[in-house]
Amino acid sequence: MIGILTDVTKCIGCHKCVGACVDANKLDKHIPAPQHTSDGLAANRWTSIIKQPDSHYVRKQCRHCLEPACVSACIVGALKKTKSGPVVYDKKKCIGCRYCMMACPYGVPKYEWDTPVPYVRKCTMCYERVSVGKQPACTEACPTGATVFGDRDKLIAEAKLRITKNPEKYINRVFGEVEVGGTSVLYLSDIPLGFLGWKDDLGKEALPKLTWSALSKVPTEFLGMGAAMTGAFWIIGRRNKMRAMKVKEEAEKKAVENETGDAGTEEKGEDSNE
Amino acid sequence: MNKRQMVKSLLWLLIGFGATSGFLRLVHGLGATTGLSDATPWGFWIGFDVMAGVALAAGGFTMAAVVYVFGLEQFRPIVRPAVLTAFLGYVIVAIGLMMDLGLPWNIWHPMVFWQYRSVLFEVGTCVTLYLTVLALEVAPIVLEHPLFSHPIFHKAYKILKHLSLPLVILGIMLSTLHQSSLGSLFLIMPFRVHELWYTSNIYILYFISAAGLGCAMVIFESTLTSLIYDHKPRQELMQKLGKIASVILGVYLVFRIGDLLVKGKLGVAFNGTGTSTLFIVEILISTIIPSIFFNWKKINGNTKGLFWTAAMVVFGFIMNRQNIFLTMSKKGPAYFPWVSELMISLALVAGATMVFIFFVEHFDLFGDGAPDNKKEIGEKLITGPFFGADRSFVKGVAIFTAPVIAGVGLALMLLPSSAIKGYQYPNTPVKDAVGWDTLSIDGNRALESVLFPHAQHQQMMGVSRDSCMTCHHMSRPKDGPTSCSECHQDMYLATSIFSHGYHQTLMGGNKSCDSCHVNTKAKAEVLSCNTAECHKLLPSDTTSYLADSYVDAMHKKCKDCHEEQAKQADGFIAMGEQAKADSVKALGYCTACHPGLPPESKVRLSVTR
Amino acid sequence: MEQFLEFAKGSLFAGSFVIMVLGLARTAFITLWGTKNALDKAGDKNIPYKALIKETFEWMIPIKHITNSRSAISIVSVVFHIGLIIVPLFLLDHILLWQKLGLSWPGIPAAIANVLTITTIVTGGILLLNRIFHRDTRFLSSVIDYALLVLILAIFINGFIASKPFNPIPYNLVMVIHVMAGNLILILVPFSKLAHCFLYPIMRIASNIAWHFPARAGEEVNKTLYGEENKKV
Repeated sequence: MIGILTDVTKCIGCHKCVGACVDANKLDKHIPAPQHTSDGLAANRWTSIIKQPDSHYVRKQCRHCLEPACVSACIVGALKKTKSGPVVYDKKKCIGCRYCMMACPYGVPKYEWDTPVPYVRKCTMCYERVSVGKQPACTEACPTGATVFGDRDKLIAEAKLRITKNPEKYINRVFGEVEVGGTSVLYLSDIPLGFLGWKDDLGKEALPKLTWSALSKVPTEFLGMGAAMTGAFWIIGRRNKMRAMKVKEEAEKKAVENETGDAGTEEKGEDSNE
Repeated sequence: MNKRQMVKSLLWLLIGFGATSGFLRLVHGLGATTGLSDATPWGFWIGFDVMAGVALAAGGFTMAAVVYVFGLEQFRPIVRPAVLTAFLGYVIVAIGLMMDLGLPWNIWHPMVFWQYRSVLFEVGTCVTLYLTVLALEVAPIVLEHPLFSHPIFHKAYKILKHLSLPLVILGIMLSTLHQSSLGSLFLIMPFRVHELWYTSNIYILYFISAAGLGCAMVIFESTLTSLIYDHKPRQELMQKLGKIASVILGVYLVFRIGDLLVKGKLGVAFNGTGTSTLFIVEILISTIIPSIFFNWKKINGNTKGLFWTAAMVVFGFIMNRQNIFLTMSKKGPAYFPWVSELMISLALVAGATMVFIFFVEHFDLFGDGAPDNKKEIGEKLITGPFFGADRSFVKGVAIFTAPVIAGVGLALMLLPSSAIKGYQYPNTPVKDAVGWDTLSIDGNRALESVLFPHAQHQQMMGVSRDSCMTCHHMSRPKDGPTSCSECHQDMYLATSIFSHGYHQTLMGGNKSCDSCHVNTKAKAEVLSCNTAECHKLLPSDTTSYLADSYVDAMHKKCKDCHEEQAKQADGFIAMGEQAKADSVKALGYCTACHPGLPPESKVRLSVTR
Repeated sequence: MEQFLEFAKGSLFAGSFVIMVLGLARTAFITLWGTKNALDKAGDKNIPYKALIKETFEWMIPIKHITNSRSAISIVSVVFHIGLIIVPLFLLDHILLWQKLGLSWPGIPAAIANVLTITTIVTGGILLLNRIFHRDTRFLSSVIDYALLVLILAIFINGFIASKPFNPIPYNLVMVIHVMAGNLILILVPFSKLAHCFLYPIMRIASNIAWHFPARAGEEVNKTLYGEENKKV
């Protein structure tokens, strides 16, 4: 399981990673309009540098969650969590429903709004480069080693080592170790990183579990409803039949009795019974 | 024109609107024709067409359950319209979804690529299946028409009639699933959906509300049809239906409030923010007031009261489905549906109404469809052409094409320009050029600069005051070197560069107005910038203050000259100076200035203005 | 004002143009269909098509017909139509407008355009006066006939003075009036008698077919309407 560790304290905001990403993935070079993107990410920017107060630079990219919400949301399985870690996208399957964009707790997948044939675009952790043994373009380009590539477990160990060495420098937490079930892209930081996602604390539970709790009930619901409806039909149908029979019997009975009685009152009684 | 023709004309107008918008949507893509963005990937089409559309179609399964399963035979006359409405509702959903999908031609993919962990997959599958079931339930109504007198159709009709109960039960099962699953869609966004709307039991709420809304929708639509077609409204039935609805709405209310109570979030509903007000209004309109009205003799005793109460429920639940999107937390620009989105949604509703009207006029929609009276019904039905004003095709065309044409034209007038011309890139501010002898200009901040040999240009022009003015033509404050981007502030659009405030202060505040705005004859005129010795070098008619876009300015300045130089290549070849010809020729390509582009490219690649 | 002018020249113009094209198609369809129906009902099916086509062209350049008592008005009318067709289509400024819709053709020199505009304004004025003062013509005219003529004249006058140095009114105002009136005319074309610009040949055929109804057709109508045979309508 591979991962990326970004140390916010080491980043100098040089944008080399952004440039490398653009080159490696052959993205459109035009910088997205500020009014279209709040975090610098767009269909043609898979990673961005977010400037924070006091010369802090935070690189945003796809977190490649261990249990990704986008993958569980995708209706056709166009997004896939690979065994080695990266979450990749198969544009041949995509239908363009954009549920992944709604589901992502970090707001990472972006859409190509400017074309009539749009696809979802996001960081793939340079899956093609990684699978031939190279490292992602961004980590390769980083001049200060602020963002490094490696085995996820080793990166966590390295991060914890850095914290123990400099406890006053860092917030005592490896961002992404347990967040929403853990992410492949980890952060070390001296400032809170809540702005990367929807909320400061996204919790430890993986989001797909929330839907699965409802989805797992679906077969029961389906068959239960079927059984209930058939049952109701049968019971009510039977009751109506019984009532009809009863009415008929009574009518017959009364008809026998009535050979001497008055016919008018009887009919009235029948009507009210119905 | 009579009442029905007016209604139809209006519907045709809306269809004209929607057809134009829909066509442009398919041609130019989502970004050009909708207000959707990365901040709001789901907008009005999902919120209204899909969420509300499915909910409104709930009348079908509710009425089918009431009549077929619970055996309340007195409701049978309204089953057929309810089922038809449901069918049309789902067709709206399907077409609306096609509009909303980025790649609508891939809509069949979920049937092949199964991803059963996605709620959307479940919704999609159920909707597809239920649409099929509904089509089979509607088919007998169509088959009664004399047009289908062939024995094959008769056989099919009989089979479908026999299958009606299993179909109904299957329909109810499927409806239950996807009505609730529409709510489950939001389960994965606990951070985005507002806490007043988010609950882990949201699917139960969606199901109950759909059932209640279904009843209200049936009241709404059958009153409306009886109004248009001068039928007598079935007052007593509607009254009973209203009472059923009020019970379901009551259950919904208990669940909704109870859930908030258990979570301990009920206080949020009364904290006085806009969101809490929205919540209270929604609950009042959709649930509390209608369930009182449905049981209040004064109101449920007359058609008008029932109709407006039902309309309130319908509106309330459309609001409920929309609110969840409205209150969703997000980062980025605010979303408001564009006129094209509204037009397409309206047109879909109009189209469905049109089909409904078609059924009312040509089929036995309000009959009971007993299996043996097919022939009898067939004799009653109108067989003339649909368009007909009085059953004449041309007359119908004459009447109803006019609103369609008006719709198309009006749509073109009202749609935003990007919907007609294609996606337009937003304004991008340009950055200053950096450097001295050789300026490197990174206008679009793409981390890639155009090299501008300043010194060389200076020499070429002859160093004099006038030659500087050729490029640095504006006397900017402090007489510093004017960077291009100071005037050409925008990458692609002409920008206003005249600073009124600056001029005003410089010339002495309020007293100075008349030095530029002078009174001649009857009206005030603005003096040209070169009068009164202000900017002597500007042309005499300069009062406009729009600077060209950066791209235009740069291209104008350099491109002509470059192209002219490139033309000399042939001359050099004739003289036998191949090397010189090549170097001159290279000037004609974009790569001469933009080193990042593919070699020999002559057009701008990614951005079209 | 400037922005509204852009809007009027852009979206509004495109919309009006599309309304005109679709509207004309609609009118043509209805007329043709009606003609076909009439033809089906006609008793005499021998329609002299060749003669009809010849006649159509003859009326286009009605030299033959300038022998009647009002030949002067005929000539004025022809001159009026020449300017009316050529200026909107071939004026250089208008060609820019057509290019927005993806249409393109060469324009005419400004001098010729000016002359044509003036002749159109003058002849249009004469036609208007004729409508007002000639007894028979006035009898045949309705409000819309005057309105259309005035509208056309307004467009030409506004367009003419807009770019001239002696223009006393602000340029933008003149242009807004010019463009908006032009858009209105485009919208009115299919729904008024202006449709003859496109339907002219069809109309000739349709009106000729009117002469081929079965004999005594009127009596049949009478019978259907009133149920009796020889009642005078």
